[in-house]
Amino acid sequence: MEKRFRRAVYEGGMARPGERVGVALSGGKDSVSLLYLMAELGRLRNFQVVALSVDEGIGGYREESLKCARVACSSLGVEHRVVRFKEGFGATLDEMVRMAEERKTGLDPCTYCGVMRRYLLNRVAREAGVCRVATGHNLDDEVQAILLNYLRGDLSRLLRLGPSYSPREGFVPRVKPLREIPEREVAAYALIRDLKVHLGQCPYARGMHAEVRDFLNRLESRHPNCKFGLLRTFERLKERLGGREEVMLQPCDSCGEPTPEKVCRTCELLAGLGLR
Amino acid sequence: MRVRVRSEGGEREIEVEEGATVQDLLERLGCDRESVLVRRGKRLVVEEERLSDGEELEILRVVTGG
Repeated sequence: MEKRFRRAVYEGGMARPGERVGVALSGGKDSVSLLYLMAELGRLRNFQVVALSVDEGIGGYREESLKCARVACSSLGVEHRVVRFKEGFGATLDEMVRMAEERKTGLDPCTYCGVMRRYLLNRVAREAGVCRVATGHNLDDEVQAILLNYLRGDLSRLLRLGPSYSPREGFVPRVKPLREIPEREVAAYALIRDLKVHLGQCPYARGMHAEVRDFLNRLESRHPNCKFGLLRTFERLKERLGGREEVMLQPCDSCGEPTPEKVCRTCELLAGLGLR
Repeated sequence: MRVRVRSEGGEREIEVEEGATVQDLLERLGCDRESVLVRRGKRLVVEEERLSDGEELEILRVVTGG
């Protein structure tokens, strides 16, 4: 697994000597394993690693995982920056979920969380002065996202999956060094290395995602390599379709963060909750 | 023969056939191998390994998110 990780980093140009690279760290098995792998490779290859965490404010869940994040950073001697929904937006995710229910916005917690977490992660990455952010997405995360976007018919989101290298003003590119490593192998790695990781389930997780995950796991158990096949086919399809749709970004009229629209999705969501 | 299995759902004894493997046990329990890791003590075991009578195994669910 370490070899495959290193090959992904070298071949993808994900971290080069002299660079300062961010690692998105939740405290779960994937991101903690990634942090260890990156920090150790950084010592060998002379690049610097900074851990970046987002505290959404999910009671009974995020506190525990952030404890694991802190343990990992202090044992590796890695700089750790934490940004909070409460400070960035004036409300925790738990509070936003209640507001959304009261206001009947019809949007689920994952919509708020997904959009706003990416927003804060990008901001903290820029503030930390990193040239790229590595996330712990594994093969399972990737194929689940591919299948979900297929099922929802969301072609533009589908084509946005995968690495983005073109630098765009204000936006820190993301890379996924574990995207070809199955979730189970990442878990085995964390166990074998005896890493302190959080294994809890997000209390807001529901819907089709878990069904797609279980479906793919059942399929893979009986037909090994189908996850890898799905990823490869998707990549070839994407290439034939002309790659990812690159959109022009401009500063949001309200907050100044990069967005393809006049007002960014985060400001739109916050306005809908009466927070902006 | 019987093996003791520890998992999220608690601990239980399972009757398996002589010569059964870890994979047989997982099928018996309705677990797909992609979602779990199996430990004997501190050591991870692969699905092809044979079980022995009276031993204890731990089944860890590895999938998260959702």
